[in-house]
Parts: sequence; C-alpha cells; structure tokens
Amino acid sequence: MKPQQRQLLRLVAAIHQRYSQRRPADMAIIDLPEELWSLCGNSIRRMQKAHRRGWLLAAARERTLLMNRMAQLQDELAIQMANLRNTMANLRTASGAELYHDLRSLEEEFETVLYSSPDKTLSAHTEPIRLDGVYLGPFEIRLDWQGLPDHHHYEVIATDPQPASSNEDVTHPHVSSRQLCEGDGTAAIRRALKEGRLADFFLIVANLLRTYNSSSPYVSLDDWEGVRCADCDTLVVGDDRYCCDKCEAAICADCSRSCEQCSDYFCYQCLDECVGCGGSVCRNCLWECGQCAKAFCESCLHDNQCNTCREQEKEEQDDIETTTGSVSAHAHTSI
Amino acid sequence: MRILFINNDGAGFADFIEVESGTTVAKLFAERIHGNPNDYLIRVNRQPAAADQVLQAGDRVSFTPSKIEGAH
Repeated sequence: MKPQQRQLLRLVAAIHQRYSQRRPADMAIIDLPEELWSLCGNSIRRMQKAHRRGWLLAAARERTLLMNRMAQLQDELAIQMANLRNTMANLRTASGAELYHDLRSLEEEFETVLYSSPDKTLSAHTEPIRLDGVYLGPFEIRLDWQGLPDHHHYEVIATDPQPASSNEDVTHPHVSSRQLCEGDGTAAIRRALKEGRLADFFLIVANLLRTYNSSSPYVSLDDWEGVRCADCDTLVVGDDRYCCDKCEAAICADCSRSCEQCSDYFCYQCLDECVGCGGSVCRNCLWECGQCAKAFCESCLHDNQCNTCREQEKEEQDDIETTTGSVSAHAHTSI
Repeated sequence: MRILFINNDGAGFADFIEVESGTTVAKLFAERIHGNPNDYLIRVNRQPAAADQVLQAGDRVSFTPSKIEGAH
C-alpha cells in the first residue's frame, strides 16, 4: 500500500470514528418524562397506603390521578418515540466506505486536495475564480474535521488574494475574514456535514464561490477595484484616489481640495471657509477672532483680531479721542 | 429498485428511494427536480453522468446546483 493511500485510510478511519460517536448528540434530543414517572410512583404508593388504612375514597381518587398520569406518560413517550424515529429516518450517516469514496472523488473534482493530520484539516483548492470579469483567484476550502459531525468549522482562504480595494478582509463578494456567508447554501452545507457527505460539502461551497449574488455581497463587484468618492459617489480607482487628511475618507481628484494655509488635502465635509477672505481652510488652520469669535485664517487675523473688529475698534478709539478733545477744548474755553 | 438519492438544493436531501427499473438520469431529474439540468452538477456514483444513463440498483445519484447564491 502506498504511503498516500495509507494516510487516506487513516484519515477516513479518524473521521468515521467521529461520526460513529454521534450518540450523545442524538441522546440530547430525547427528554424522558422522568418527573411524570416519579409522580406515577407517588400515586401508586399513596393508593396502596389508602387501601391499607381502608380509606376507600382516597384510594379511588389516587387511582383516577394515577390513570391520568399514566395516560400523560404514554403520550409523552409516544412523542419522544416519534421524534427519535424521525431523527433516525432523516439523518443517515456515511459509512467508512462512503467516506473513503467521497475523499477519493474530491481528487477528481478539485485541482488540489490536502490532508493535514496534525491540524486535523482537509482542504480542497478551487480553480482560479473570475466573477463578472473580476479575477478573484483560487480558493482553499479548509475543513476542520475535529468537531464533526455536530460542530463544524471551515475557512475559505484566498491563495492568490485579490481583495476588494475598500476592504482587504473581503477576498470574495461573499467571503470576509475567511468566513463564507452561505446564503442559500446554509441548510445543504449543514446537512452534508451532519451526514458525512464531505464531497458534497466541498462541492456546495465551491459552487457558492463560483456564484455571484449581486443583491447581497460584502463588496459589490462593480466596486471591487475602486472605492466610492465620499463627496460625489463616483468610483475612484488607483492614482485618482485621494484621502482626506482629517477623516481619511476616499475622495476623487475632482473633489479633493487643499487647505489654502497648510496645503493638505481634505474632503468637502472637513474644509471650512474663512469668514474674512472666503478661502477654503481646514479646521486646524482656522482661528477665532478674540473680539467677535468668528473663524478666520491666519492671514485674516492681526493681533488676534479680524480686520472688521480691528477697524471697528479703531473707529471707536478715534471717536473717544475726538470726544475727549472737544470736551477738553470746551472746558478750556469756559475757564 | 433502490438507489441513494441526494439533492443538494435548498435544505438538502439524502435518502434511499425506490425507482422503476430502467429509470434514466434525465427521468429521475425530471421527476425530482424542478429546474434545468444544465444548472446542476449531476453525478452517479460520484462520476459525471450522461442524461440517458440508466440507473442501477444501489447507485448513488446526486444533484448539486452549480449556482448557489451566497450573502453577506
């Protein structure tokens, strides 16, 4: 037997063992009516006691109670039995041979299939995927089989990542941070893993990756290679993309404006206007006039005052001086 | 005759079913799936199968949609 074949058989045996030990999960759904059983026991004891002491009415009452409780017990058991029958009928578990053939078939369905014994993972690699003309590269579907069949965990890893330019965690319209949002495939994936149909699991996931649902992506393929300008909402690609130095929003070349004082680039929201000269100035380069508290650029303020306030103050000063002069002349004349 | 039938569409289904002797892949598809066979990966005993392939007792037949929509 070739080493690879031996490795595969060992893997099949290990995974099959997980499925064979499913019993605790099945038992969890069986909820035996133990409390009702115990109440029946109490009724029997009370009925016997009443008979011993000759309390005929009490014995009759306990008998009626016991019959009601036994009927309830019967109903409860019938429900539990139906649930159990239903579970057994609907959930089949792959045999060791089926698991083996499933894993062998993966080698025909996928470009690469890898088994990692230390990590207890099983991986299938897709072909490079292109959706609506956007190249997304190949993906590795890595199944951690340790928790099977009741707890499954798998990752979808871009092996030649071509993430959305707006979010590097999104490597596929339906994959973010290696997690696939299964959408319509959710139930089928869960069922395949529950039943040990591992080839079906990989096929369903691969087909999800080969499909684009334009109504519910993490990032739309239309926006894959660019980002929307925060100001005008047009798509910005590559060198045309600017970034607001304050809020870091992406903006297009047409919408990016520089502060007339510091020359940094800002979006529309982060630039203000100097009340004095009307120039576009960022908030770091705006200062309040000490008098009127309006915002001005550095060029429009002198000694912490805007031109208007300064002129006003000068006029007031002149007025005072003129008034003082005339009062003094008048006083002089009077003397 | 009895075959293992797997439908990976929707909620998923996998169980043994009875089919008439001489049933082809196309006939089973028409009976069990409402859709276009071109939109499915059709496998018999894990191998691609032709529409006119006649099923045998004990066959494992699976229909997996080739387009399954994810979400976010």
